[in-house]
This record gives sequence, structure tokens and C-alpha cells, in this order.
Amino acid sequence: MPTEVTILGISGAVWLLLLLAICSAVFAWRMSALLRVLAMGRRENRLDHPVLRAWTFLKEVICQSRMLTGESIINWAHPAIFWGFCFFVIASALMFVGGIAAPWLWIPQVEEIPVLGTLVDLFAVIVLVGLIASSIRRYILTPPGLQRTMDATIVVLLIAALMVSFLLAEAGGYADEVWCHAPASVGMSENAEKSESCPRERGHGTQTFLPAGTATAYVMLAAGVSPEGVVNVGVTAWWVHVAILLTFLVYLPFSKHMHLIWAPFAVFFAELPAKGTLPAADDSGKEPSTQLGLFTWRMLLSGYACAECGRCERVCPAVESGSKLSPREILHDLKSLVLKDGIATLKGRKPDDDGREFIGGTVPAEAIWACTSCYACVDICPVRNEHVPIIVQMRRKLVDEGKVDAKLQETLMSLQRYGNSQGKSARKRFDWAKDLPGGLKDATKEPVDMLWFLGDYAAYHPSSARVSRLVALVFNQAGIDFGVLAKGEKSAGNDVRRIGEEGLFEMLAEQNMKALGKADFQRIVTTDPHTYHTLKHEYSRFGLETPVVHYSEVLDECLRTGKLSPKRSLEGKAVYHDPCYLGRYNGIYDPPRRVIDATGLERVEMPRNRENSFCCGAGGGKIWMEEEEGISERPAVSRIREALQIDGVTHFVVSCPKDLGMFEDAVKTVGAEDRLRIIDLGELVYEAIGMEEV
Amino acid sequence: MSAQDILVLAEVNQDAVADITFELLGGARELAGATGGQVVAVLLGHDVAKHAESLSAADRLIVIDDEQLADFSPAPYLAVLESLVGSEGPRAVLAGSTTIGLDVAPMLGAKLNAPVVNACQQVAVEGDLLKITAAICGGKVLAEVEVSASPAVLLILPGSFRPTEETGAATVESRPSPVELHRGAVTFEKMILPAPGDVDITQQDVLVAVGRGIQQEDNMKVAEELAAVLGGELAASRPIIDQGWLPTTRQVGKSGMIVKPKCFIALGVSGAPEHVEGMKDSELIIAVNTDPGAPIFDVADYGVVADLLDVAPALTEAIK
Amino acid sequence: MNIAVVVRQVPDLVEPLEIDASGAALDVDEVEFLINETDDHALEQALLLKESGGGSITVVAIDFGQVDDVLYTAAAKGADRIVKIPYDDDDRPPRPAEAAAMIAEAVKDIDAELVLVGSSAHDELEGVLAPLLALKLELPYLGVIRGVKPGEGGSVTAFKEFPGAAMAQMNVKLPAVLGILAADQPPRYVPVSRIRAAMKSTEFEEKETAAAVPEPNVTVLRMHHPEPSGRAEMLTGSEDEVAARLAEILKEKGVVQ
Repeated sequence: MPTEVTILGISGAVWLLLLLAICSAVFAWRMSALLRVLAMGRRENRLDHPVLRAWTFLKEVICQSRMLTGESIINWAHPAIFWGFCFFVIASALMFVGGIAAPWLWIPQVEEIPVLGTLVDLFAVIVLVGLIASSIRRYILTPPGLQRTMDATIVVLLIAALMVSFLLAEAGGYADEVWCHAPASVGMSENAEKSESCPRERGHGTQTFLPAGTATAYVMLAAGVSPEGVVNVGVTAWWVHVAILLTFLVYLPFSKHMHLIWAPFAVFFAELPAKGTLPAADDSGKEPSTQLGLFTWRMLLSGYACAECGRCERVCPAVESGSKLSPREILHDLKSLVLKDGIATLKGRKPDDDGREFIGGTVPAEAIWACTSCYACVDICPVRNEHVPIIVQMRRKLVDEGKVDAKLQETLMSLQRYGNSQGKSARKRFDWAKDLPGGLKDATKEPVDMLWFLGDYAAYHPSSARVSRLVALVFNQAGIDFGVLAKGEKSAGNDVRRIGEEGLFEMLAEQNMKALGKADFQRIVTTDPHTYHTLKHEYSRFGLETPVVHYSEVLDECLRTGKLSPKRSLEGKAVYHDPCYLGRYNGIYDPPRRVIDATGLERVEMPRNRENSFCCGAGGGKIWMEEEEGISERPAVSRIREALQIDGVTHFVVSCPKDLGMFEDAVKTVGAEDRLRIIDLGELVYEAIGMEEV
Repeated sequence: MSAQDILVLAEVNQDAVADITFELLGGARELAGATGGQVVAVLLGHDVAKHAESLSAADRLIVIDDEQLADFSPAPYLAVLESLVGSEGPRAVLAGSTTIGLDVAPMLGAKLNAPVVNACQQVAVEGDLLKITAAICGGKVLAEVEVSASPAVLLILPGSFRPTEETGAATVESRPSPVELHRGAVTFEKMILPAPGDVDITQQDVLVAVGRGIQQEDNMKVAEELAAVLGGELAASRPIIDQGWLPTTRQVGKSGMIVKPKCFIALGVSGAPEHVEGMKDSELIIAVNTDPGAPIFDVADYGVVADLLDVAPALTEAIK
Repeated sequence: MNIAVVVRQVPDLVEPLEIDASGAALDVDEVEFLINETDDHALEQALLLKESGGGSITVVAIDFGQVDDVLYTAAAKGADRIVKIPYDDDDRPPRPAEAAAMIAEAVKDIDAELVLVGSSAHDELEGVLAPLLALKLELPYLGVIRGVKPGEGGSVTAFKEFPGAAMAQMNVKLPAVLGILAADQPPRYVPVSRIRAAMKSTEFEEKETAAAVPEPNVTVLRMHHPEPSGRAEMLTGSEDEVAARLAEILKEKGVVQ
């Protein structure tokens, strides 16, 4: 072993032990500090669903599934480097143990272990190729949102040096063997006396196939380096390799690449099982002692785990529309805060933040308000960071301080007062059904199978309320026994939660639960994906246990079972826009598509469809806010342009009351209202089953 | 001087008689016609006699000139009016529901133990009674009230009466203040005028508002030309502001400006509730829209189902 | 500065306004009440003054309608004391003169240097509360104010609205009553969690008043809703015909000469 040397009169093994001990101590000290900082976050249980967590870990960390399904043509590079890293952890461990034990005991090194040795050897090359590929991407192609930082450069160079030094050390270990077996053509046979001892007693190993190491030795010998030279270089390279490893050990927990340590934990502690169910507000009434206390520990962990890959940036509708929001920047800022304030607090100092607030200062309020809560960033994040809950957490602070824009304030006041976001009298919630033949059943007066929970937009927005009436007629036609909460239905509060007005959300939920408690029904249906998500996932803590379905599922079922049958085949080419809260949040992609297919329309997909669907820009309460200054193009407009790229497209089908208004506006902005009809799924069915306007 | 006189509190703003004063004189003339009394205008201020001529609709104009009245402050105004109304003993005192009227009239009524009616829109004389229609609750409720005591102090909403062409005897009586005036607790320091910048659309008589129907920025000139011949200004609904074709100061609607011009021409404005809330109280509303079902036609007085790009230039020509 | 803020209930115009059986008053059972908008501004102005110069805020209200909600909200926003004046008649909101008499008695005990009250309310028919309150308190009054700044030597600077977006800067020696139209900033938002916390922690001080109530001298005969104005008169014809007709209308209405 290369530790069988004496440096300054002290055995190499002792040096190695000493260095390892020092570096490990630094590493441990830093890691414990980072962990104690995490503990400053709010508590949240992330140990539930252990099997699901283990499965997710296996899939996403070990198998790198999120990386492989990623966006880039070189998405193999990260798994290659990662798996290489895993193998090298074994190799390095053996190096240290073997090196330290060498004077007394021979510990087999990785290159002496068949198969594993070969794999490690090959991975050294694969990792190098991966590094080159990702460097080309980072430094030459540079996708938006990916930074060319010094940190990244250092890490790339260090990893490359690790691989090269490994190969050189390997070559050193095998140089004599290579030399012995080298064919004469290579011109290495002049040292005939050496051949007598071939093969040299190497000790304990077996013959392992090491193509890269052997090739390196060949190349060096062929280049005229003497076998002793190769061996000496190998010994030096071994020490260099060890030195880099130790450097890494110290450097990692201080650098951007700490994601390497934390990402697996971030994935294990991901938000499971349902997406986008925000943690309840801290109702302890205690002001957290540092700004960190505003976030849960898992949110703080996001900062550590973020690799700053910029994927979140590239899918963000706010970023595309030129907003100040940058989800990557928010995590980066959060990480800086965690490190600065957290470490300062550990040392018993006041955080040195120049009196600058993190929320609304470091992270500008405009950025915090620009989020539509579409969840595209969370969905694509390789380390399962939760940008949206973090943003909502920051909004909660702003709301608590009353820092909301005038339009939003008016909406919140309206919700407080009237239980709806539209500033309308609660008595007018069902005005759209005034002339409905047969009227609407009141589920609080007679039992119904299905309770229709309207939501504000379906009840009050002129276009959507018109659709509500058509959906009611279709439900009647299908013989569905349904009713409403004629008195007492309020906004379900999805957007209220995302605004960060948790107290108002709780108030609305309590009021709705009271009204629901008076009604007799088997399941809840709604046309509004926002309402759907909240009732389904966020009302359980208020005691709601009834199943919740979306009308697209009901229509799909009715069409499949023949309760509704199309009378005529509609003509045209339709695209379907997946609403965030139906698709990405709840995975309902196919029922609405089957409904469109049943109407006879030719269905085509927009480039961004299903989980990659592009938000209309209304969610998360964005629809209630004043437009941010400096917006280049609203997301809904960009979406309409995307649809118009498709040749001969005639119908833009939506299944969300907010979408209807958003896209009706956008298609007018584009000036394409003659070419592209924005139509709700319900109206589509209404037309297909041939109902006359009643 | 008679118990059938109608007394009008005249207002001068920035060295000009306020519009509301002409409206009050118009109303007062009708009332005086019914009671058989005279229209008495009262003008308080300093160096204001020069406005006498424009107040010729009154039979008598009482000008109280005092340095303490140079700039408005409630206490001296109240002191003068209390004495003056006490001695004149009119049937009614008409004050505008304005920044001055609202400060002075309610206290005047209380001091004289006289009935005060707020937000008056119509006033009629029926024998010994005054029958008044007041618009309360933001105009959503009309209250019909009667008062028998004299004088009645009435706060009149702007736009309730029409200015009159008639002239009265127009005798001018300049008097010193009937009571000694002191610098009270409230003193005027200075008038802050709006910075000269974009026009204030709430102050325009004619507004030409554009909506989505304008389609492109280039078409804005069609609306500009119409506004120019009408002597009005451009306003817009939200989408136009969003496009950045006009500054936000031109936005009409709940989240923009609430406007009540004499004439509001809506070009290609669909009439979303948000917008309607900001313009529904305009005196004359003309709407041009291609969609016959556009809600703007529910609030408009006159509607045209056509492309604004055809109608607006034609209208500009017709007016020229 | 010790500030008293008067808040009162007015009918919510978003809800339908029904007329009661007498035909001469709003049906209070059907009306939803909320804080008078200008009173909300008065409270905001008080909070701003307190924030800039310290002091305490006492909110005074007559117990009518859903006033408790308003008072808890005021407490959550930062009012220090809440004084509630009992009022017996559930069917009829107090007239401005009545309210002025009752509130004046309660305010006298507070020893406020500055009394802020909304300069008007949309349901005021027989007079206006703010100036009447000043008269009852025998304090100077200035109304229709958009913004108040602390001034020198026991005074404040108030900005009174004048037509044409002009404002008169006025010095007001305290004590005084100011009628607020708008605060320097729009009323702040107070989150529901804070209102709920205030509901638990706030105690109202009840203040019985024995004020002599002036007799009404205005008789309300009838209340009714204005006739809905019909749909637009639709003009048809070629664009030139339509334009000519419109030009005629504009001339008739005096828009163009």
C-alpha cells in the first residue's frame, strides 16, 4: 500500500489516520451545526408512510428516476456521476481502511474485488465523460436558470481530479504486471531482468479485469515512463486522491454541493402521499425567535438539498411571463438565510441581516406574490423541494402583517364578509339556477346522492355561472340525484390558503362544515379543481370524510355507462388544457380526455400537456391581485398562442371555471376569438347530447 | 326679506363660482316661483364682489366680505350664516353637498334648531310643506320626506338641479360681517394643487372609453380623434390598461377611477361589472359594440351594434 | 396623543335593501350591517397617528347591528380601549342627532385630544353625525379630510378636500373633532387569526348614556327603490345614419354645440 512509506519519520498509515481524523472532525462539526440549524425550524411529521417513503427513496435516489425522465438530452450524466459516486464511496472506504491498516493487516482494495473492481474502474471513465457532457451543458449551452458559479467549477474540477488520480493510482499498482505482460511490440521488453520476477508478488488480489486502469498504464509505459516511474506516479496519485477526498469531506458541507449529502434525505422526507396539502399555520401564538422559525425543518432542508439545477425556473409560468419571481432564487436565498441566521444564532449572536427582513426584503414581496401555486416547480424538482409551500409560508407572514395589495385586500374582506371572493351577496350564489327547469334541490332539506359544491367562480362569474346551468341540465338529463347547499355554501378556501390567510381559510372551512353537516348526501361533486383539491385533501382535519369527485369524472362515467349518450358528433379539432389542481395535483388526466373523445371532436395535445401542462396564471389567489409590473406576456396568453400553433385547432376545452374566464380574456387579447372557441367540458357534453337551450 | 325666500349658499373655488352654485340657483328659482319668495344668494369671502355678476340668477346677493372669510374654515362661516339666516328667516337654505356645505350646513341646522335633510335630489313646495326626495344608501334607496318647519336646511347632491338661464333682480348688498370674527382653532395654511401631469378623468365632462374591441394600439387614434372633437379625454377598461396602451390614470372601474361625466362613450367595451361600477352614473352613456348581448347595453342610454372602427370615424365626421 | 374614534354601522349595499312594512324605513331584519367606510378610514388615520407619535386609541360605538364584529376588528388592528354605548331599539338605527348626543356623552369621559369620525355615512338622511358631534362636544370641527399629520404645539395638520383634486392644508388646534373622508393610507387588512385572538382577549367597556334625545323634525313619508333605467335604445342603420343620429343626440344633450 502506498501508506507503506515514511514521511518525516512517521509512518504513512499514521499520517493517513491523522488526516482522516482531523477532516472527519471538521465534517462532523459542520454537519452537527447544520442539523442544529434545521432543528430551529417548525416541527412537522415527515415519518408517516414509511413504506411509501422507502419506495420513493429507492426509485428517486437509488434509481435516479426523476433525473432519467428529466428534460435534457444528457440526462444520463447525473445518474452516471451519482452511481459512480456510490461505487467510489466503497472504493474510498477500502482505501482509507486499507491504508491505515497496511502495516499490520492487508485489506483488499476495490480493484482486487472481481466485478466490483471492474465496475469502479469503468465508472471512473463514465464519470469523466459525464463531467465533460455536463460541463458542455453548463458552460457552452447554458440553459436559462443554470448558473456558472465558481463553486460548480471547483466541484467539477475536484471530481475530475479524483477520477484521474484514481486511474493513475490504479495504473501504478498494475504497472509492473502490465509491463511483464506487455507484448514486445509495445517496446517494453528491454528490462529483461525484471521479467524473472514476473508476475511480481502483489499480495492478496485476484486477477481483476480493469480496462481503464490497465489502459492508463499502457499509455504511460508507451509514452516512455519507466515502470518504476509509473509506480511512483501511482503512489503520488494515491495520496493526491486521498487528499482530494479529504478536501471534499471538508469542503462539501460548506459548498453548493452539500446537496450531495442532503438530497437523499430531502427525497426521503418528501411531501407524501398527497401533493400540495400545506402544513397548518403555527397557532401557538408564539413569535419564533428567528426568521427560521417561520419555516418547517423540511423547508429549511430545501436550502441544503437544492442543487441549483434551475429546472424549477424553466417550468415556472411566472418566470416565463417576466415576473420577479424565481423559484430557484427563493431557495437560494432561503439557504443563505438558513446558513447565516442559523449559524449566527448557534453562536449566540444576533443574525447580522442589516435589519433587512428576509420576507419582503431579501425575497421581494412581488416575487412572493407572483406564484400561481401551479406546482410545476415542485413536480419537477429532482430533490423534491417544496417551493410552493415555502412561498405560501412567506405569504402568511406578509398577510399577518397586513401587507397585501389593495385588490387582494378587497377580495379577502369580501371573503370574510360574504364568504365569496366576488364581493357579491351570499343570497345570490344560486341566482344562475333561477330559471332552471325543476329548480335545484336543497341538500339540507332533502337527501341527495351527490352534493354539488359550486365554488365562487362557478356561482358568480358570468361565463362560468352560465356553464353551471348547463352542467345542471346535463346532470338532470343523466338522472343524477344532486343538490346544493342552498344556504351556507362559502368559498372552499383553496386560494385563501394559498394567499396565506390561514385563519380565514379555517373560518370558511368551519362554516362550510357546519353547512355540510346539515345536508344529507353520499358524495361531493364540483366543477372547480381548486375546490376539488381542497375539499378532498384539506378538509379532513375539519372532519370531512365523504368522497369528492370532479365533474369530468362524473361525465366520463355517465358517458361510459350510457346514462348520457351523444346524439351528434361534434366537428372540429380540440385541445384540452389540464388544470393544475386537477392534473398535476391530483393526477386526473384521462377522464376529461375521454369525455372530449366521446363528443366526436378530434383531440390533439398541446406540446405542454398532462403533468407538463402550463398554468393559466389564475391560481394561488393570483386572480385576485393587481398585475405585477413589468410582465411581458400573461401565462394564459402564452397558452393560447401555444394552442394556435396547432394546425386547424377549433376548440380549446377547459374543465375549470377560472380557466374559462382567463382564456376567454386571453383569446381576445390575441384576437383569435373567431378561430378558437374556449369551451367548458360541460358545455361540450351539453351540445353533444343534443340538448336544446332550455 | 320674507319667510318664503330661498337662500342659496354660494361657493367660490379657486377664484371661480362653483358649478354647484349655479345648479342651486336654478333649483332655488323654481322653488321661489312656487313659494312666491325671492332667491337670496349669500357669498362669503374676501374680495369676492367681483363674482356678483355671474350670480345674477339671484334676486338678491348678499356679499359678506371679511378677511377672516378669505379662506374656508367652518367656524366663521357658521357664525356668519347663523346670524344671517336668523335675521333673513328664509323658507329654505340650499347648500351643496360639498366640502363646504357638509361642514357648515348640519351645524347651521342644529344651531337654528331647523330640520336638516341630507342628500337631496328633488325639492318641491306643497303649501306649507317642503317635499323632498333624498338619495341615500349610495342612491339605492330614495327617501321621500317632508318638513314643515322653516327654515329647512337642505344639502343638495350635485347634478340634482339644472342651472337656469333666468336672471333675478340681482341686487347686490355688500355688508360687513354681522358678527365679529376671530381666528379660531382651525386655520388655513395653503392650497395644494394637483401636480400638472396626466388629466384627471374624474373631472372631465366627456369621456371616450375604449375596450377590447379596439383590437390594436394603432386603432387608438380613432378614439383619440373622437375625443378631440368632443372636447373630451380618453379612458379605458382594464384590458387596454393591461396592454399598456393608456396609463393607469385612465382606467375606469372599481379598481380604477369612478367617473360621472356628462357624456360617456363606450367603444368596444363589453361592460364587465368591474367596469360598469366605475361609469354607470354618467349622465349620458352611448355604447358601441359588435356583440348585441354585451352587458354594456344594459347601462347605456343609446346603443349601436357595430364595429367601433366604422362608427367612431363616422361620428367624428358628423360632429365636425 | 389620546384619540377617540367613532365607528358606526351602515347598511351593506351589496346585500338587497328591503323596505319594511311601514314603507318608510329600511327593513332592519333583512339588512346586513357593516362598518361605515369613512369611519374605517378614521380608525386607520388614528392608527397611523398612534404609530407615528404614540398615544392611545379609544373606539366608541353605539351598540347596533353587527357592531361587535367591527369592534373586535378594531381591537385586532390596535385600538387600546373599546367603549360600547347600549342602544335599545333594534329596529331603527339612531338618527345623526341622536347618535351625536349619545356619543358626545361617552367621548367626554375619554378626555381625548382628537376625535376622529367618518365625515359622512351613506344612510345619513337627517343631518350629518360628524359636525353634530363636534357641536355637542363644543369642539372645533373640520370635515371632508384626506389625511392628518401630527403638528407643532398641540395641533395637527389636516388636509381638506376641495374640487379639482386640490387640498387645503389646515392647521387645527387640539382638542378638535375631524371628519375623515380618507386616511393617509387605505384601511389595513387584519387577518382573521388576529380578529379571533382579539375576540378572546378584548373586553368592551359599556357606557350607559342618559343624553336627551332631540325630537325628529323631518317626517319620512316613504322609502323606495329608484326605477331601474331600461336598456339602451338601440340605433340601427348604416354607420353614417347611426353617426348622424348620435351627433343629434349629443347636440340635444348639450354635449356638443
